[in-house]
Amino acid sequence: MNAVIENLGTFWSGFVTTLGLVALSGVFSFLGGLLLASFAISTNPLLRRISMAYIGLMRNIPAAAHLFFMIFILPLLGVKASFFALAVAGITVYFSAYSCEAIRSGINAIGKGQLEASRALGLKNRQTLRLIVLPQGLSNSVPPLINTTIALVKVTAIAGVFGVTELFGTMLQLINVNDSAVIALMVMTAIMYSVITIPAALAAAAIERKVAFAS
Amino acid sequence: MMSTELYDRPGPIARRRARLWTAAAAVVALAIAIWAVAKLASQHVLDGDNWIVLTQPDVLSALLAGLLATLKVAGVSVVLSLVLGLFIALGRMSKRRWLSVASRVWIEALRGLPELLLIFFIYLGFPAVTGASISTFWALVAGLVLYESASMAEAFRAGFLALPKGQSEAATALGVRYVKNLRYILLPQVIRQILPNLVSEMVRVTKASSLGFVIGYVELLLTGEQAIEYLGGQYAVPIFAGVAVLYIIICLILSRVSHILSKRLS
Amino acid sequence: MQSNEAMISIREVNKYYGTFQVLKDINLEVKRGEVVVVLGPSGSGKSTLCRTINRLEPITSGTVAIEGRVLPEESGPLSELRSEVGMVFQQFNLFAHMTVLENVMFAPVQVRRQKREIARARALELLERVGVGAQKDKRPAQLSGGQQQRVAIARALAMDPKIMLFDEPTSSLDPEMIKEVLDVIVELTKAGMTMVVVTHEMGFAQTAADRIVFMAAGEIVEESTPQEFFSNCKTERAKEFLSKVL
Repeated sequence: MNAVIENLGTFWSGFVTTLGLVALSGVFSFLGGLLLASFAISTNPLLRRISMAYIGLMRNIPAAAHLFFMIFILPLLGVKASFFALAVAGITVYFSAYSCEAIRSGINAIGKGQLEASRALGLKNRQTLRLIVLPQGLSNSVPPLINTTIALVKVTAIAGVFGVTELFGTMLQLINVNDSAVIALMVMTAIMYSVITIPAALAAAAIERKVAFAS
Repeated sequence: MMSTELYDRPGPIARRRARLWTAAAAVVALAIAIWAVAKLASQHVLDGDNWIVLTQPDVLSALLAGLLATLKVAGVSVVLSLVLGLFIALGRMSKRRWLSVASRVWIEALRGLPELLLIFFIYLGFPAVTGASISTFWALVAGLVLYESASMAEAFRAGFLALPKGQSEAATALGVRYVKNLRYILLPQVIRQILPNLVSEMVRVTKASSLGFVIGYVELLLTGEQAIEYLGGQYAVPIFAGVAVLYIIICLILSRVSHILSKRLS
Repeated sequence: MQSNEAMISIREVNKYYGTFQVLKDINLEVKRGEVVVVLGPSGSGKSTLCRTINRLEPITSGTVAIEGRVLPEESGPLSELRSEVGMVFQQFNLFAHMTVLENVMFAPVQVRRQKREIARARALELLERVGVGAQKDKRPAQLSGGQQQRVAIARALAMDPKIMLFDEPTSSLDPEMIKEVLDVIVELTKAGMTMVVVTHEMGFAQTAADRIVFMAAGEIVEESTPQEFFSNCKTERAKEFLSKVL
């Protein structure tokens, strides 16, 4: 217990690093997912193929392998960047695929009738995309995107093993010097992860219910 | 929805324009690919001598052994999380309030934690509490089972809730006791229903088993790392590519199976 | 109110889904101000026919022309033509992310580039006219089916269309709401709108139609005035149909 209380400051800085890792890779993954989704719904068959191939490949390589590649192998090839930046890159490569799937599922959930109504009123393809598909698709994809972000929070822990002192990395360091307080340190870490993930999961479920009632 | 439904069917002019755009995109993609290859070649990544390593029998057999270890963890974890998940789902649906609340807390708490933390809970926590040691294999399996039990419980519950209500009532009316009712009437149907779910869980667990890397269980990823350490940095990219391809193949096969199952069952 | 000028002319139209033929050699002219009601058993292709008129369903062969202009194949010019043809769907299809008022203002602002105040005033007037003015700030999901369908009619009318297409406008409504929607449609026929109405409402067909088109198995089997059709139809298939629905 004392080991936890004495190291609250260290925990806090690990927590902040985790939040930074989540925020940066979350935003980049969303942008990557948006790009991939725009490829996926493009009329250009080549872009559709590229998007599908990216998702099929990147999603099936484990997150740990992505981070291993970025943080262990890239420096061997002469790439110089901080562990933090490399971790953001690895997580982004992996989660862009999941963000794309979340956005696509939102677009798929749009009723065919909404598109027909828009066309029948005389809107051009581009207008239908901008004024109907985008707003409805994105608001449909909020719950799956939150769930993707929760998964992302959990994956950031792996970065702790690769030298980023976020929450999990902090825990490993503290365990190294306080091996009698292993359980307390792990419980504290678990609580701090839950502070992020549980409210997010509840929010996603609440939004999903609200959307379900509205339609 | 296919992209074809998002747009009006294109006329001849639009089709011609689309072909032009495709050609332009192809040129750009090709340029990027050539640049990437040139860049990699300048770093000696593409040197044939390095890639020959993947044809060496001892490297290949090491990677395959790693793959087998990965599949062993995944298989055992899936089976165990299935059993644990079933019990938690039954607890969650129990009429005894304390049991259903406890199951709910279990599910929500475990779903919010990183798999890696759960693995460490077992790997470091088990010896700390009991004084006995635990192998890396079982620490990895137990951590994954803890994590997956939550999502399996939810899958089971959804499966039970989807059953027609009469099923279990009819069984009760016939005087079939709870366990028998479950075993012979409800469970076979529920398992059928969550089968696709089960296979996609296999994909998740296969990927998550790479976390064994962290606690020193020699699965596919750690095998790759050891091979790179042993053979030298110039072989890093070929060996990593081999590891990645093996993961992709296994996961794609499983996803395919899940897809076929869910199609056949619906 | 009718003139001899053809508003819609459908010539030799065929449509296949794979090898299945949904429309067979369809020929139909609708004159300015005419109200054509399309009847027929389900699966007869009547809904598909209605949807070919603004090319929501592409056709395999033949031509569809509006005011003598053949529907263009390119989506740009096609959408200009569509903006002059109002359509009301079975499932209402109001835009779920907009309020009732925004739904009605949407196309005039986006397609016609009308000023918002002008579009808004006109939308309010139309909502009042179909009797849902009080609901203007609600979301479609908060309205009853009958109210939604009346908003959908107002949304189509906001573009001042030359033609109105109704694709089974009351088929997904609860019985008590059918009348409120039919009343609005009848009102429109009196105002001289050119209309094609696909429906199962025989009472409506009898009183509101200038002409009945009876379809079965993808073909137009019979065309006649409502009096003729309902008192002595010529074909066996129409007789059989009427014996089931009346």
